[in-house]
Amino acid sequence: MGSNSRCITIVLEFLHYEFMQRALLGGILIGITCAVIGVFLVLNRLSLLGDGLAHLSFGGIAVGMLFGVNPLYAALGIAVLGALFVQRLIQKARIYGDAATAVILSFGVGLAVVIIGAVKGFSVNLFSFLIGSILALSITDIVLIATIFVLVVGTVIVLYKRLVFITFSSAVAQTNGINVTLVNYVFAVLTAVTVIIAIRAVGILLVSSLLVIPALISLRFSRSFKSTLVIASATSVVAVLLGTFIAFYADIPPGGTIVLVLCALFLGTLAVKRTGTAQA
Amino acid sequence: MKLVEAKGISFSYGGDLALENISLHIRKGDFIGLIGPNGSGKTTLAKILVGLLAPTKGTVTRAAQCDVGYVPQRLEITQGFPGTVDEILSLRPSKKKRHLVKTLGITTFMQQRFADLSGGQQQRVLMALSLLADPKLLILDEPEVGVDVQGKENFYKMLKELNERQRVAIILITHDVGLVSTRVKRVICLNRNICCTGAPKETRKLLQKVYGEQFEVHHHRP
Repeated sequence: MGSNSRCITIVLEFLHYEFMQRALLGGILIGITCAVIGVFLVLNRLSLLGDGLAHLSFGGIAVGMLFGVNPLYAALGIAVLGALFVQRLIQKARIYGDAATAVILSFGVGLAVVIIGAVKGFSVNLFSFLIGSILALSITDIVLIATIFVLVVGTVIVLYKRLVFITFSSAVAQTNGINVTLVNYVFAVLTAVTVIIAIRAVGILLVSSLLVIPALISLRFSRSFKSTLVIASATSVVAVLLGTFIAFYADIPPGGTIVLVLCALFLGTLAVKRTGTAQA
Repeated sequence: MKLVEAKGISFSYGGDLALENISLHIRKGDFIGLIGPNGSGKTTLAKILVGLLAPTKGTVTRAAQCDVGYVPQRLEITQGFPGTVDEILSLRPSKKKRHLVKTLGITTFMQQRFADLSGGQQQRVLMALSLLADPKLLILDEPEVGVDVQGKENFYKMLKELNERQRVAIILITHDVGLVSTRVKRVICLNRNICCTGAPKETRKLLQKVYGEQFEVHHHRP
């Protein structure tokens, strides 16, 4: 009883702060959004697309600061363009997804470095985007995150069968009348907007972990496509909440803590069970 | 009735010519074996006939309402795909689902993950998926790979029934020359262009020359 009431006290204290309530709400929404997109990315062998778009966003944030535009909105615009460009390279120029991702990743970092070098005083603000902070989410951030959550999850629900069909086999999907090119472009945009909200939680450097690790964990246990999405979402939410909780009490950076929790969960699942076949 | 007609089609990947001046037609009830060495353009031709690729030269005409079913090589299916057979067969809503599941003997593994099935079981699922749309033409790309002898036998029996009872035209891409000589009605031997075409008996000599002993061994198999 004593330890139970102590736990309740700790949780209540945790929830007492408004910034913590925002962090929890934002964390749940970001966790689910990233997990859902991540499952499709991993299965379509585009695991590093999130990382590439995040680094491209770094350039977008620098451009936003340079021109006095909200850095996240500038990053959003550039990430969407980058995602469409990657799809274009894959489909028209027949370049592999990882190679196309490397191009935009390099461009984004190069752009940011040049702007930082040219304009003094940006580096401190830019650094905050590199590591993110879920504890610093504002009401405006929550509105943006909730909007993107509804957009991404809603679109995935509407396009669910088409996305699953393309993930299974794009050739068979196309012969069944699905406009694979269009759906891939829509999915690329969804990935870009997801990356932007993930940056707020774990920062540019760690975005790919939120997209990829929950999917990898889920693929080891799931028995169907739907359960893959559910397990990945649950894993992601648990990692975000647990990481935020630990970071708050240990006074350590939340972004890195969330990622370490995810890595620990992944290593734990490696030891527990292996039900899947080859993982993409 | 011509279901698909290709006239003078060529295709190149970048600068590499994969197909050159191919003309052929497929009629209702045809059962064609498409053979040729690796890199001869068989899969490329199949993808053009299905509509996945556009020829760089020439034209492909499909009859109105000629749905084409396509069973790709299993390499083209995402490795480790976590969906169940039921989920996969629900991707294309069709009244034929229940009938196909029963006919193809899929009922017992409907709730299993596709990735956990044997080669033969996966082949049956891909076949069922392609038949949901009630196609008039079915193109199968090396369906026998990874399937055991009994599985192959059942599979070809099923194709024969489909071809004879429902008059579905079938193009079978294969390296199994013996199979071509005994199961199909027409052979097309491809090596960037059409080397020979005709009934298995008519093309036997050339196939023997190209495939040598492999042809003989399979040909005499009961």
